[in-house]
Amino acid sequence: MDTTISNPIFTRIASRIIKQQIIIIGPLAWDEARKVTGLQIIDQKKGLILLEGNPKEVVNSLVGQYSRLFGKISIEACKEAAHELIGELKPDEIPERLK
Amino acid sequence: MDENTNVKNEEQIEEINKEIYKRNFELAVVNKTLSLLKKLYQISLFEIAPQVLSEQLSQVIVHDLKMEMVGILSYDDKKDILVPLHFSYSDRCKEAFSVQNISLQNLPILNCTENKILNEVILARVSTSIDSMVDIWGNNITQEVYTRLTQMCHIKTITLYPLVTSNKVLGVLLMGLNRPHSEVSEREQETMDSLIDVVAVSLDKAYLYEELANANEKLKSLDALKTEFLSLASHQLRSPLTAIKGYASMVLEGDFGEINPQAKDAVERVFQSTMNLTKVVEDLLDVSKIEQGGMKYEMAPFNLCDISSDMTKDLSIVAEKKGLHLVFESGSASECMVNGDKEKVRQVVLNFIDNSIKYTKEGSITVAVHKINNKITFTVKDTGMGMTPEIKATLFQKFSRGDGARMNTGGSGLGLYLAKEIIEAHKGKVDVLSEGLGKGSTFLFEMDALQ
Repeated sequence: MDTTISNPIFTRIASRIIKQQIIIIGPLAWDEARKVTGLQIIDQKKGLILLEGNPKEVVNSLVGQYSRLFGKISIEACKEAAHELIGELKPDEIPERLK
Repeated sequence: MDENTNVKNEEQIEEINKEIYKRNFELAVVNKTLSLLKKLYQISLFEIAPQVLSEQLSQVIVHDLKMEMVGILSYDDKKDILVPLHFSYSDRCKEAFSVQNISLQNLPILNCTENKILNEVILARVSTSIDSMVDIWGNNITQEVYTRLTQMCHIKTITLYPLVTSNKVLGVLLMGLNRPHSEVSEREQETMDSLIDVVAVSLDKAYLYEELANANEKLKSLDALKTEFLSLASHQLRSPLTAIKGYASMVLEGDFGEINPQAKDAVERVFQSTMNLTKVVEDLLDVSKIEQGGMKYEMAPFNLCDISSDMTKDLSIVAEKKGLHLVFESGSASECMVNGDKEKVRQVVLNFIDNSIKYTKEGSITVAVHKINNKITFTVKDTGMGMTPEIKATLFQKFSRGDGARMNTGGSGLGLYLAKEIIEAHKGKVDVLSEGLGKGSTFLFEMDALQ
């Protein structure tokens, strides 16, 4: 799963999660996403991001980043944002925090 | 401040953060739900055909709630069958159904109440969730296709809601999700629950509109049949009436020799009755022509004062016989020019004056033509029986006879209706003014003056 180029499905999941968090907490969602290792913000205005390393782990860390600050309910928000795309993943591909 | 206080403060801030996040999340969900309900409501306002309505509603639900599949099915309780109105899918689901060459749209579900799940939804009227399409479509789809569809669509839960209004099950809303039911959050469930009533009411409205439209079509075809019948019957009546009138006239004029006064009186009555009946038949034919769109108007400039003056003179003998004073007054002749079908407008002028004579027992009738601004107004003012506002409201309708029936004045009740149709075909308008019963009436019509 390790890859230096962005995996489209995980990038889309991460992107959906950030967008959902923006609706709830505003631009702070970008500040928190920036702290996640392996997640690069290419263009904040256009919402372009790049995942480096293990994308499954990056997405898991992104969810963790929000949950550390805002608790369990933020995981629910992330799951809700990602559920449509999660359906395309095999069970072992699903990031732990989104299971 | 000691370290303990600092830790305590940080913990408090963290708790406050979480609480704010929770509230904001709830607000976001409520906003999303409201936005979805608004979209559904707007669709229901502008769409009235059940199938198109279902298509648009299901598409919005699939898109906004990220569903894999949403179907709206109509329930026919007499046949115990669920007929699909529309199914909308996510992109991957659409592709899956296309690859498997399956269209749920073409698969009505028979014997619904014999199916345990559907029985619960339709008869017990409770929503229910299942994890397999087999529970609904049974043997309509092969097991192999079910397996492939489930894999490709990722549908893990199908939730069925009864669509109920006015204590009647109109149909079923079916939603396919890509997660087990246990993973659907309380908030998502609330959002799903909240849209059921909007879908049910929209569908109910669409059905009502469809019923009304069908009834209207039926009425229209019945009305057309009636008009056709009237036209045919009137044509069949006109020829024998012409013959009766002709022979009666010949008898009266002595073409068959002298007849005794008693016989002459009887033939005169036959002649007069035939004339009245001919008028009714002519009116019926005109109504048929108007309703079939076949009334032709030969438009040309003419002088309304001349027609009005001539008709007043012609009818003054009839008025005098009743002891009525019939007069005509107008402005200058040059101010009476209008563009229209002279003969048809003459028919209206005759009808207005003739009516006034019929319904006035004593006093006077004044016929007048006046030009005000760019309009020419024709009026017939009498000192007759007048009318109540209720009678006035229906006077220009077909077969309306005001108080004519009570007064036994004869007539078909079509004259004023024809007058209105003729004047409106000239882009004019008709009206009647009366202060009440016994206070006289003024019948009038208005046409554009010829510039």
